[in-house]
Amino acid sequence: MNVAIDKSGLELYRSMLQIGQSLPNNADGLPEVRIALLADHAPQQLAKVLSCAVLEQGLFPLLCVADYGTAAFQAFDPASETHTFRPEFVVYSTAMQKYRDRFFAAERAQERDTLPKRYLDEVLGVADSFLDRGIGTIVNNFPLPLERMFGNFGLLTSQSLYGSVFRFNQLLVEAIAKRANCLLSDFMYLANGAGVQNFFDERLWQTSKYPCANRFLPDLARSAARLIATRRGKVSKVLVLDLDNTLWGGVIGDDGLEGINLGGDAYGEAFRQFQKYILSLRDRGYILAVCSKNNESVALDAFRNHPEMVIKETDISVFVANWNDKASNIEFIARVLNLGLDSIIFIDDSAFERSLVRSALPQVCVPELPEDVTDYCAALEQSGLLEGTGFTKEDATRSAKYREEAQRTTEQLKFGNIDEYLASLEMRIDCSPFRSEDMPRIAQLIQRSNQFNFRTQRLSQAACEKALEAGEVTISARLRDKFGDYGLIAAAVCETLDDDLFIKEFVMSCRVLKRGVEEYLVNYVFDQCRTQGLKGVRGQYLRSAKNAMVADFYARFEFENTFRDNDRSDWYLSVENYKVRSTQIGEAKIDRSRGIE
Amino acid sequence: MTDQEVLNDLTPLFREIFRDDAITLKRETTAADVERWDSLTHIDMIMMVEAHFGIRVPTRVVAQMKAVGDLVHVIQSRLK
Repeated sequence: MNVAIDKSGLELYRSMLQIGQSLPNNADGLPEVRIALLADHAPQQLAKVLSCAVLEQGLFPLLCVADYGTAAFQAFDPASETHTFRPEFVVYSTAMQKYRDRFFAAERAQERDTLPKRYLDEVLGVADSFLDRGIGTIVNNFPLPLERMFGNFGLLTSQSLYGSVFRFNQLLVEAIAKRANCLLSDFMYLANGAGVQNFFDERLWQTSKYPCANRFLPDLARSAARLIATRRGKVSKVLVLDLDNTLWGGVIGDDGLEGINLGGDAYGEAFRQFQKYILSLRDRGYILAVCSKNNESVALDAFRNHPEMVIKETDISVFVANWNDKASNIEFIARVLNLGLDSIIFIDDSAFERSLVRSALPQVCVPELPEDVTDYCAALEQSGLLEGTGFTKEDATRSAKYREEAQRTTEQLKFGNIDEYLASLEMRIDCSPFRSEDMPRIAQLIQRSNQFNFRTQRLSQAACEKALEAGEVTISARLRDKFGDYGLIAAAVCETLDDDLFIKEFVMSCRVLKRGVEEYLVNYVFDQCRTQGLKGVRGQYLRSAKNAMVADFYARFEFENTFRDNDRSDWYLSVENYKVRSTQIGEAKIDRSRGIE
Repeated sequence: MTDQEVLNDLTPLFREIFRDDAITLKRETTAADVERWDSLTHIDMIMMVEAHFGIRVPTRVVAQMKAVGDLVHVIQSRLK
């Protein structure tokens, strides 16, 4: 769980603080974890935020907070409250400002030279007293301070505070590498991301011994909480990747192999860059899987035949491209790999899909992805989900091994029932005959839809207007849900033939597939048919290079197949035999001037 | 902003930070009048005030603030 996915900064700090200071009982029976917090800065607020951060990891915190500055006493006295508490983990949180005090107190150059090593020994002395008892101990490095004193030369000398802290951090890394149960919380990285000038707030240190501006305490707390959760076995192993607008720009089903943005110009190059990053995550041990709403052959075509693809088919352990809902597909991927859902990170540019997966499969990690591909990498890194415990030879070859395993698995996809989720979207649709102000958009939709397009007649705007004037049934649909307005997403032009309604053109945007819009529209067509006193609906499917997706559409609605050859099928269903489909979509109230209300 | 306008803005912030819906602020209100107003919550309060008014409270006031009136004065002078 994530208590405040939509919050950041001070607001996030406030809400984590509130949750942490009024922890409920462990009513959900979460696994408990005993954590002792030692700090050489004010520990109170960090303790509360840490409680919340541990809760976010699905663990229930039992915290023992030592008084400010008593770390050495707690460590070396076997009867101290920390030892008596019998913690599973110790978080030993240290402030750069304390190091700075010692640096400024040094009286001779030689004292400053040796400070990094001496200070490290003190930190390790405390840490080792817990490590020796088998307690997982989290220590931190320091953000690089602003006090450089020599300008650019500062990094080259331990006579600058900046250079001195840099040396300390280096020694700390070496020491931690030799200690199995010792974990590094990388404050330096957190402060880099925030900007050191933002991270530190001298007023807060001077007044109340806050180690950083309070809005960054959530970063420190989450860092420690993730290390704890990782030690408890919560490790992500699989990256499940969307394709369209995630690994390349555009929609391959509509735009075609040559039409997608990948390589070529700056925009396409940004996707290549992201692919390179993903590949580096595979090399560090992640299993890659694809979960895309596409025809499999179309999606695979990019991997096999697009010259700019960085990720190859052989890099993907499980490749799922179909039109089922993504939650079911992710469950399928987990089963094929025989890994838990909680080891999966799902990467998708669509807020709809992310929300669907979060809601249907709360165990799956679903980081928010920003709008722009150039920000994807930073978003993944900042999500904190890519926590690892080490690097082994197996990590480098894991992806290939799982690919072989997955190929042996022949399990079939199981369809999930997602009605509950769809209802929660609060979808509202507005179906109406064509309106003059919508004509340009209708014409555009007809021109651009390739996949959900039955006959690909490409009716022009003039032809649409003519049908409307002739009194034929025309349908345009606008859709919105709680996430926002999709605008005009479907259009149909019908023609009265004898006593039947013939669907001459019917296109829909693939963005809204599988949410009940199709059902709603077919209901609507039969409604119109009945209103006009007609007997039935005739449909036709004309094969194009891209519309395989709707080849079985009429069969799904139990139309009778009246003709079929390789490139064409005709369908008929009478009004009286049509069974109205249930959907989770409501009718929209329309205010013409303001769009869908 | 008048004294009262600033105090009206501050009141909900104080109520949230110090978790007491009965807090009514005057210029004379001091930490002694408010339960849970300690050096740490003091900082949290100052940070909330900064974010709310889009100002920076100088160290002198953070460290030496005697009563709410000091804060009101800073807010008024920074907002000018």
